Amino acid sequence: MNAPATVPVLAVEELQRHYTLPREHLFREPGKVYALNGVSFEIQPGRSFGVVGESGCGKSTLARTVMALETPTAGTVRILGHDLFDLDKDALRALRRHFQMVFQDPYGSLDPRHKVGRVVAEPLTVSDEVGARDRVEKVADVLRSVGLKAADMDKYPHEFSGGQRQRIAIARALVTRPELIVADEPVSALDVSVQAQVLNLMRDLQDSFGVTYMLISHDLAVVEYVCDEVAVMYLGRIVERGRTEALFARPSHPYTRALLDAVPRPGVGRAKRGAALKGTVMSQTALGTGCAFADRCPMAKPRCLEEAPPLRDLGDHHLSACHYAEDVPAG
Amino acid sequence: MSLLRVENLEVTLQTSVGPARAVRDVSFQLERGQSLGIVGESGCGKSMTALALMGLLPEGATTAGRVMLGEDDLLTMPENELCGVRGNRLAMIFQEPMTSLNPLHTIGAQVMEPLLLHRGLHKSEARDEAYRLLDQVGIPNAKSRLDNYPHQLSGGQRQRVMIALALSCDPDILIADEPTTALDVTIQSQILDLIEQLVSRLGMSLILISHDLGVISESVDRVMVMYGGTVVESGPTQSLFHALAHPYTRGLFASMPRLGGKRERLTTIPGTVPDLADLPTGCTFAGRCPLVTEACRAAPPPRLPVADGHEAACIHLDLATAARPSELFS
Ligand SMILES: Nc1ncnc2c1ncn2[C@@H]1O[C@H](COP(=O)(O)OP(=O)(O)OP(=O)(O)O)[C@@H](O)[C@H]1O
Ligand SMILES: Nc1ncnc2c1ncn2[C@@H]1O[C@H](COP(=O)(O)OP(=O)(O)OP(=O)(O)O)[C@@H](O)[C@H]1O
Ligand SMILES: [Mg+2]
Ligand SMILES: [Mg+2]
Repeated sequence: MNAPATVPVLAVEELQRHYTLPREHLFREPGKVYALNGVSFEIQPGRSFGVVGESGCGKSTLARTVMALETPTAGTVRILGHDLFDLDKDALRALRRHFQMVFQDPYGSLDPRHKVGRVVAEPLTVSDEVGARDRVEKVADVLRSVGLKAADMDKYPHEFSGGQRQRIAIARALVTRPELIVADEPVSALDVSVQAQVLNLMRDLQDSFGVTYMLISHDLAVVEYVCDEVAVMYLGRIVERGRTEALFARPSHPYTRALLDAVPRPGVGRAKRGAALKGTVMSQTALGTGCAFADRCPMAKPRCLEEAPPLRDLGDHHLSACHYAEDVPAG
Repeated sequence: MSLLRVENLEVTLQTSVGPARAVRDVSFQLERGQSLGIVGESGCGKSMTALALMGLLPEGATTAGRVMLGEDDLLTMPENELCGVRGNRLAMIFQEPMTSLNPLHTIGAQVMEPLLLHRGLHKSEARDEAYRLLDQVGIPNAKSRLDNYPHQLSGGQRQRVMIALALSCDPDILIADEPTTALDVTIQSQILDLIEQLVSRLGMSLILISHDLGVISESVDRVMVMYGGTVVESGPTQSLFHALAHPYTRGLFASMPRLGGKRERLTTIPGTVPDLADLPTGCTFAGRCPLVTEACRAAPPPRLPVADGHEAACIHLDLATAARPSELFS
């Protein structure tokens, strides 16, 4: 389907983002948070790319940088072939209509002073010249497609529940029919029946308009349902990447194994929770040698503490950053 | 006597389109050391039920019924007394970590505040305790992060600060509204273990609101399923998951994507929730139910027994349980 010559919708190369913490001490260097430490991947048109990983591992930072809402410390982001951090303001604004984001925090991202109709129409007003009638029609359509009512246009965001607000945020991202949608936990606030409606809608949009997705989610079943490919992140790096089904069926990184083992499954009665990972997350405020997962890894060997494992190709589009990728238990 | 007794709770909210009956006729009891899960459609009144217990409903909201904490009715308690109850006996993890943390204060200051206020610790003790609490919820390098502002933390880290805050005053009852939605599954399981320990060791009682049915099935003794502001099914976790009875509950389970499952189109429940400002006279689920008959629209359904302590508000339970959930809604 994808000729090798197609321009990826999104191409991220060696992306780094380091935050400086407030100075604790007048004479000491301020601390740093190493949020992204060299992330690279591409997404081809009409495909869906999932990003999963530990809370705080840099997923939202990655999303914000891809949306040009933050400037990276190093590395490049190309959308439809354009280097985002090499464009002037006008060119970037013109390009923006092609990529939209659903934020992790819908409360913070919906302007409480405006009615929902205006909030949802906002990207339309900047991107294209549509008549007022047309705009109302478009907003009504998109609200219905996320399971809300056209009449909800006249209410304020605070009059909705958490999940309803999340649907407003999704409607706003969909209204311009963008080519790339970066969705940060878009369904985590929804109950499963509304979630199913939204996930089906995301798939339908992909089938009919060829939308490309970058989807961040903690719900591995959601990622498996939507995404062709998935990247597993740990402390600012991709530690495993591959085709979703194959990767979840046969993980090649011990962190992915731990994630899969921790998924709660509704069973009959109070099943016992899978054992949690031992140990604490290694410092994010210093870059160590060796593998960042080593101190929590049940398979760690002396080599892991000394030598950082590179992301290596295991064949069949599967990459893993583990010295012992081949030994990860099948579960 | 039960620790908490909620009787016929009603909550009516003022909206721009008129009064909305967000919670109707909700009753339940909670014993010491017991845990109750609440699941249900987005917008069905879960958070409003929780906020009513906390006395933190939005402006203009009116209530009816009783919320008895021991001898005291929280619905009629004056605000200054309620404030003391909130600091000490009841604590809530709010669904919206960003709006419930103050963006202008460091997280250290916010976690220390109740420790200084309610537990009377000195500043340095409070700082040590704040560090311990943040470390306990798995915030890496907690010490150096006490001086961070909320926007400098990731979504899940903010959520964990909220959890630390709620646990700081050793509450008798913890109300956790979607406490782990922003957390990856390994940290989620660490947090749920922590809460479970507090329940089993210290006899804390728990109300857990979550739409993650896996989390619910692993974490609570009893489950209450809500739809359109009211309870449609409730029962012991084991019994409820073993024999889903109400058509809505069955539809809910059928819509869940399963890890390792086929990537077939997900089952959905067609239609949308009824308008709370204009509720139907009969069953609230009637407009979307595949089994609906005239009788369903005529009067609200009675709660019928399914098994010991397990009941569902539906007059077609036999038909509902006969069909596979995915067939019911296809
Ligand atoms: N403005 C900032 N200043 C300092 N540190 C920051 C800032 N924004 C994010 N961080 C830190 O960078 C790291 C990555 O944060 P990010 O929000 O990308 O995580 P995430 O993977 O999205 O996590 P979650 O799943 O919890 O949302 C975290 O340790 C966070 O505390
Ligand atoms: N401040 C408010 N003013 C008016 N109506 C409101 C307000 N907050 C919520 N509502 C309405 O009250 C109903 C119940 O809301 P509630 O927040 O309890 O839902 P919920 O079950 O917690 O949903 P979710 O799972 O999406 O968080 C919803 O239909 C919502 O639209
Ligand atoms: Mg995030
Ligand atoms: Mg809620």
